[in-house]
Amino acid sequence: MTFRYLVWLLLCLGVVPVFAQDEEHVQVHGFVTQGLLYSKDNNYLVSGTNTASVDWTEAAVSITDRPAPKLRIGIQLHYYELSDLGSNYPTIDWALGDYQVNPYFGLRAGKVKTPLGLFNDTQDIDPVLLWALLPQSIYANDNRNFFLSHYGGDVYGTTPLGQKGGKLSYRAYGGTNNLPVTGGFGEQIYDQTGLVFDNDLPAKQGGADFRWQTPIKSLMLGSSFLYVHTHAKAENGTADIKSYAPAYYGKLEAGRYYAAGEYRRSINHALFNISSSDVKTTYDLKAWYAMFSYRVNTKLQIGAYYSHYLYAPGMASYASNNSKDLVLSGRYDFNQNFYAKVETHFLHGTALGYYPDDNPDGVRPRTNLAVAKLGFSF
Amino acid sequence: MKVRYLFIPLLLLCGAPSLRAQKIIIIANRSAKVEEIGISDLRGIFLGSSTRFKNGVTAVPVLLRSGPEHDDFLAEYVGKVDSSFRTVWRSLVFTGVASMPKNTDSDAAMVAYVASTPGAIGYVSKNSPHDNVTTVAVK
Repeated sequence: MTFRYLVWLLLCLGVVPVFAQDEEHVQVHGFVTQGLLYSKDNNYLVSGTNTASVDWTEAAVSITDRPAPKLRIGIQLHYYELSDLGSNYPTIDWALGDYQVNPYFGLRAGKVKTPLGLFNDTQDIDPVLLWALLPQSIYANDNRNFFLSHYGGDVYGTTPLGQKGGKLSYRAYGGTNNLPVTGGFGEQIYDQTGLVFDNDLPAKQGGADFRWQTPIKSLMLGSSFLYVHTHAKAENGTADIKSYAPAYYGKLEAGRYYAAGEYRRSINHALFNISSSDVKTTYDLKAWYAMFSYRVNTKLQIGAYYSHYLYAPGMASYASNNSKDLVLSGRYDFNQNFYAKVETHFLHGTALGYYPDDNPDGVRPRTNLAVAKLGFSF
Repeated sequence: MKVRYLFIPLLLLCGAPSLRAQKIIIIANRSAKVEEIGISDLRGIFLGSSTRFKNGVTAVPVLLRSGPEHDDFLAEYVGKVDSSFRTVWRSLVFTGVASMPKNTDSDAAMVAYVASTPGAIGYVSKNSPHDNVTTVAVK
């Protein structure tokens, strides 16, 4: 909480923007956002949204340098506070060395952003998004810290596919990660199994992302997959979770219009040893969204999306097994640095975003949510 | 009013971008040896998806910080308004996969920077002096 006030104080005093540089070598960039959540009927994501919560602050600062024409190095610190979710102190978002041999092949090593679907690597970069909240069926704010980046390496490149074939970009990666105890997954494991972990849960992961810029102007199609193996010892047992997540997505930009969609499945095989008893279970999750936006003028952009999440197929009629979200959103850019967002969510289903601690009297099947955000980027 | 007069503003509207674009010229550092460029290649360089010219030389895009020439260039050659354009670059910068292009404050500064930077490519008003750089035709 103290760090949040420090960030805003520095911003108001003009200290942070002073450091903005766009020289060809060393660059410093950053952003800070303040959000507001106000919900009806249930507390969504965190406690206190029923009475309007401003306990939602994000900030990031990146420093990059290009010591040689083909080599870039850099680091980004990120601060994310969403009530008791998030780290509440600055963490390293990414820190890497990037050597591009040629357009077809490059290497990145260090802590590297994980490409998965359309928005995974940008889901914590608020200034680049129209939406205050991305489709929670796939980019859930309470779980996002687990997916953002990994320790390890990437290979990447782009190859043209002939005069009429467009071009294909690829990224493949492998490394390790940590499942935050204080994140959504950590809380869900505790709620469902009672396992108590002292530290974040270590995981190994690998995957790839392919993006085809088609010959049709502004149409991009892509596919990703991610494999994660999490194994951790708790005070009262162990957890072993193997997850496989394929994603398919597309994006079309034409003038003032933007449309995108994504489908993702997540198959999780979990083995929990709780007080010497084995509990084996499989979670098969399916999610998709479709979004559309329109740029009214140079400053104003409006949009809408529908997001759908389904847990345990066969019992889809249960509100607790699905989550549907219809969203209307608007963003206004005051200038190159300041912007504001407003958004309304019409939620149906309780499979995502609700925690027993935040809703001690139980959860109702519908929630209306208003979101507002103010941001500054340099 | 005769019907044909209704077409005059329509024609003016349709022709406005290309008329505006004629006020902009693309310039490049002479060492890049680029005299013409495809519009999709130009768009790729200025959106960060391409890092080289077709001849293999590393491309260094250079921007005007703001102003009508900047807006006209983005509208005609990149197909975006300034806020959308900066969103694309912020996506690349804040995910650690690219560095922000150099911003210049005037046509003179743009020409000076492009002239002195190998692989640099930028844009200025057609009426601005642009010695020591190559004028690039867009196909």
